[in-house]
Amino acid sequence: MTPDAAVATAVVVVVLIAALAIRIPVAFALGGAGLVGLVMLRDAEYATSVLGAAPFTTTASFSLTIVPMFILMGMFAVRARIAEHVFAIANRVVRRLPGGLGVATVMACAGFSAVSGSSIGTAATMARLSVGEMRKAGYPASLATALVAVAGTLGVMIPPSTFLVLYAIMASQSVAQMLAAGIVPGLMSAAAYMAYIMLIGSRQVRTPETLEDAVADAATGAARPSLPWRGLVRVVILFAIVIGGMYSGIFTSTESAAIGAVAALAMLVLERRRDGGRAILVHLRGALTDAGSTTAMVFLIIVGSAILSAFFVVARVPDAITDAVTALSLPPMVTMALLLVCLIPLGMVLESLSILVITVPILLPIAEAFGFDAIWLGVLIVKLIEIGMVTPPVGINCFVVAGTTGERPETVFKGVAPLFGVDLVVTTVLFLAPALVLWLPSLVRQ
Amino acid sequence: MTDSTLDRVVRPVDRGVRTIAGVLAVLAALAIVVLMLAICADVVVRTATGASLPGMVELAESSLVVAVYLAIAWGLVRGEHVVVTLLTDRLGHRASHVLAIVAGIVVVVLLAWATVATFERAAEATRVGEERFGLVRWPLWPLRWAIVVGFAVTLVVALVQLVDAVRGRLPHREEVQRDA
Amino acid sequence: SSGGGGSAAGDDAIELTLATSAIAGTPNAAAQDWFLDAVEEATDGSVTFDRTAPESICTAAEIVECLRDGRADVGVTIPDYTPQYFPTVSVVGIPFVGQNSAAITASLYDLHTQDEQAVALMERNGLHYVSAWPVGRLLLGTDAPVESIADLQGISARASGPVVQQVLSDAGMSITAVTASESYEAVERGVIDGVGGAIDFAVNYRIMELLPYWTDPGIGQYSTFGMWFSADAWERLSAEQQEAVTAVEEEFNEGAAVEAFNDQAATQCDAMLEATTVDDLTAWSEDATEEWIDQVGDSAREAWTTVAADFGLEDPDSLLDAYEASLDEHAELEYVDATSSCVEAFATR
Ligand code: NA
Ligand code: NA
Repeated sequence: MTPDAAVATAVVVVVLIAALAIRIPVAFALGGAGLVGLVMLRDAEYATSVLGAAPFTTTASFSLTIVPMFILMGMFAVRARIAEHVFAIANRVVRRLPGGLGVATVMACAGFSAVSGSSIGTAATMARLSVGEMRKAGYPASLATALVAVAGTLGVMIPPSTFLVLYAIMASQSVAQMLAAGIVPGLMSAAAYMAYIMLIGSRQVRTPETLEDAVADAATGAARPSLPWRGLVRVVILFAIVIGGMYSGIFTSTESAAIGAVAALAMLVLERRRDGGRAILVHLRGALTDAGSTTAMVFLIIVGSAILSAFFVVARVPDAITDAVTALSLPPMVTMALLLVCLIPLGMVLESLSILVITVPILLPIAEAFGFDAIWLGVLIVKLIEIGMVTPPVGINCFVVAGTTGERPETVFKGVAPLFGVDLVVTTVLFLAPALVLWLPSLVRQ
Repeated sequence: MTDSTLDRVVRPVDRGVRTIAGVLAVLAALAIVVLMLAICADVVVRTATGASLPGMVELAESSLVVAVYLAIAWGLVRGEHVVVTLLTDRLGHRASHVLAIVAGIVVVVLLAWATVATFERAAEATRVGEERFGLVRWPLWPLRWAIVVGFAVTLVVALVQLVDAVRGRLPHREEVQRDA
Repeated sequence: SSGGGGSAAGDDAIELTLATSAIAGTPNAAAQDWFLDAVEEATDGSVTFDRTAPESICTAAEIVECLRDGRADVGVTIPDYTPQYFPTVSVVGIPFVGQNSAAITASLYDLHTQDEQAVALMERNGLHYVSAWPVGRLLLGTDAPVESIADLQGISARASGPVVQQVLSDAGMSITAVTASESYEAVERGVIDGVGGAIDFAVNYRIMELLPYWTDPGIGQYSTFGMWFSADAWERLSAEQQEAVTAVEEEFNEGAAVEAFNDQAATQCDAMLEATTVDDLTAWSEDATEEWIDQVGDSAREAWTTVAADFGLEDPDSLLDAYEASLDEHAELEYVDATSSCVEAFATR
């Protein structure tokens, strides 16, 4: 990195923090900081070119249609009262289990990840579906939102995942093995989040009195309201359509989101059919406008982050970090660990696909020279980038959950802090025991 | 200029731009419907015939661009863009006021810059007839204009909010109705 | 943006920023790197390249735009992504016309340095043409053997290259619009049951893990990778530097590009030969290909002519004539096709 680039990077970091501090919307803060850096390193014309191009290139992509479609599916499902019904059932079934609803949310995120190839899509959808229900059951906002933000990151780890496919192509690895490699780490992460909620997180839950009464009633066998089982049936049908259609080859994972949205719309009509056509139209319109504004909010953040990414590439920040770390001449394991940890700050501010494109060509040759497995490296890169997506002060998944639920980002970040620790533990285990990552791929034909 | 003369200019602009932003938001919502239907149509036709319905992938992609940029102005009207409030919550009224003005100016400058930058890009794309050529030929340049329109209307919304901030009014942050 | 490069660099030392979509280790990257190395050497390090990682500063479809707006100085990508700029290079898309990669590369260079229309087009685009080389013969990957057009009926496939998609579709295949990065999972689950593309699609996108039958139907070269300087970057070079680069361009287009490409393509062939999942890699009989040529007739040429006219070529027919004349002229260029040799090698695997 040139001295100019070092100065520019420092300025960009300061500008970003200052912009966030004075309540400039996150998307503008990210993009603005990137533009300042580009003007410093190149010129205003260069920055204008990036600003003119990024809004188009970061949205005009078929694979990104998955984000608005899953958001829309979530909006329909909420208005079809599916979430409400399922959580009512979950609440009854798991009420003896500490943090039962949180566990159910993580399981739902993991299940949803088997459909969605996008962390942001998973987080936005699940935020809409589960945060409100957890709040009703006495979960503090920080815990409820953080769970969704963190468990949303499972979206790219558990296949399908275009992210893992892209890594496999860049690293010349078998795609089948790469996808298989994501399964165990994804499930391990999910299990770790659940363990956290059951053992620690559940202490924050303050069950509302009405619910306590209901539980007491249930215990004495009095006035037990019948459960809305149809919600559960519908969620099973929804998942059967989306997962079944995808794994049987009727549609791709990107397309599954739109199919899911149509199925959820059908559920909405079914649930509200007695309220009349007018009521259905009101819900339809509401769901669409909500989906529209959430989509715009999410993509504007992605555009801002893409502009900042452009600066990081021009300043050669990833190269500089790598050079600095390798210059220390530490043992291979330590060097690799340091390089991977450096992905967290990059994951905080950059759009995750661009970090992959920027860092893989730098990290892979180093890892291969040290004799590390490329598939193992890929899983760790993905895991650390995903951790970066929920790291304060600028984790993109947290902003998405905040934007979707109307909570403040700080609230989400506050809840994320302990889960961040959980993630680091999981990552350390994966780092020290590559067999956990590589066992499943070894069973897949090459 | 007195407050009332300023009001005579600002309020109609405010009303007008909110109306426009609202209309664009409806169009954005329709674009999401088109996106959903395009993908479903492609899946249905492919399941029936084995081949894609030409143009549906391109239509879905285009709808996404329209959906995003036609909705950003309405997002600003409703105060939905994500902000971090950690610091400003702890400041006094006066300091908050000054910072709100600074933030408003920054947002206006960025939006103006984005409008100009994307306008130049749209004009160029129109001149060369930018398109994608797969199963069908699909013009891309009209999408560039959707982006320009989105940023331009958002810019006007941001300007009105800035004027209000300077005059000590809080930006309109309507309570977002969320009936979960 | 420019900094002192090599030791022998003089006052006019210049560093040019590369924007590329060629993934490291692919034949296209090998061709690109040969050129960049040769220029650095021929100019004694007075022209150097900042070789940014693939798609890091600009995405594949955006690279030409980046050259035009100055974000990059040298671009390497697939011209078909931005067809409005390259109606000339798109002649390669006409099926059955052009089998010899070396002759095609040389002919395209002739066109872009001598033909008035092609030269004017590049000027209008704000680009200095360096080269365009074919990405390799079209292979069809399927889950059952395909030996003639009769076997193509009803196969649902993903293919790239606009004209080729039309030809495959006319021959009875069902063409689907699946993205490249989603192709693997689409084939795996049976959304599609075939692909059409060069050997690097089979190997780098790992489709060979999934589809057992691969065949060369004789369509030949169907799409290209291109390389350009921005006109602005070209003008920043001194007269001496331009002269040195031009000499490298000539060597590159007269055989070095295709040679570098083929050397790397041989490693892709090894991957095909080693893949236990690939049951067969063959080529159609001449009769079978002939049947398809007859069926296509002049329709593909006419389709190209119409589109090229839309994209601003005043007289596409004369350009096509010039291209074919040039192909004949270069027909003697020594040439061993990497895909065809791979088919032969597979027979004795
Ligand atoms: Na997934
Ligand atoms: Na051809």
